Amino acid sequence: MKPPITDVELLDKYRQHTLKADDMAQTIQILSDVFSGGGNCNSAYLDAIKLPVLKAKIEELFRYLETLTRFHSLAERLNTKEVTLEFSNTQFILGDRQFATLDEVERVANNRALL
Amino acid sequence: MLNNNPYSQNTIPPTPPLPKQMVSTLYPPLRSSVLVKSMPEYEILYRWHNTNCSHDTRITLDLLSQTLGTYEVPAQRTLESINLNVIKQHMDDMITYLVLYQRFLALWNQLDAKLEYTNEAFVLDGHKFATLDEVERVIANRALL
Repeated sequence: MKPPITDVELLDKYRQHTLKADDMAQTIQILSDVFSGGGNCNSAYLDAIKLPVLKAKIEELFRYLETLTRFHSLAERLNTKEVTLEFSNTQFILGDRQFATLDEVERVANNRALL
Repeated sequence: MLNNNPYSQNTIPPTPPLPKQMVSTLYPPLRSSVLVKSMPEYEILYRWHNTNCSHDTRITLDLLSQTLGTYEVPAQRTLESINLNVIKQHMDDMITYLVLYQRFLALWNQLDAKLEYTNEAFVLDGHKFATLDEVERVIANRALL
């Protein structure tokens, strides 16, 4: 079984495949079509969609947006102390150190009184 | 590799001003949630169809679309301007509703459009049912007769 994608891999994935090009835009378009009618959803469109797939994509999208928001927030706070936070395709990079998760970044930054 | 990424070196990318179209739709009057997980199935369908949820859903989807479609990576200011939790809750509600409505429609077709829902129950030939499982059991029993 494939291990779940990490936060940094998720950020990198969306960076590599821009959101416009990604099928996420298509997913949202499908949902818009489903709700394009009046009060009820459009059952003709509903018949054609695979809800479990759609649900998984939406969950990933929100995980990405939450992670990106958290990254932005940490990077901005660290920037005030003239410390740079960035990420590669596998690691978060804080100064000369690398971290697998934003939790670790936050812990180390707190220990160094950077936050 | 890092030199090509939008967060490298100078770290936070500049946040361009929000497009006018987006500003006008920020903070839409989204309900935090009209659906409750413990709510009976018929009530979920009834509430969704009677409380303008589809309209709210379209607003949510427009907002998401604009958030994702404006820039290659959503700008920080854009993300700060939307209430992710509210939108996420609304999307969860939407999926809950769609899964249920898809199942209802399948049974509705199977029963020659005789299945209905009210704010009190599912109704089939004058009989009331609390869940779609119960309706399915009736269909299975009829098939045995």
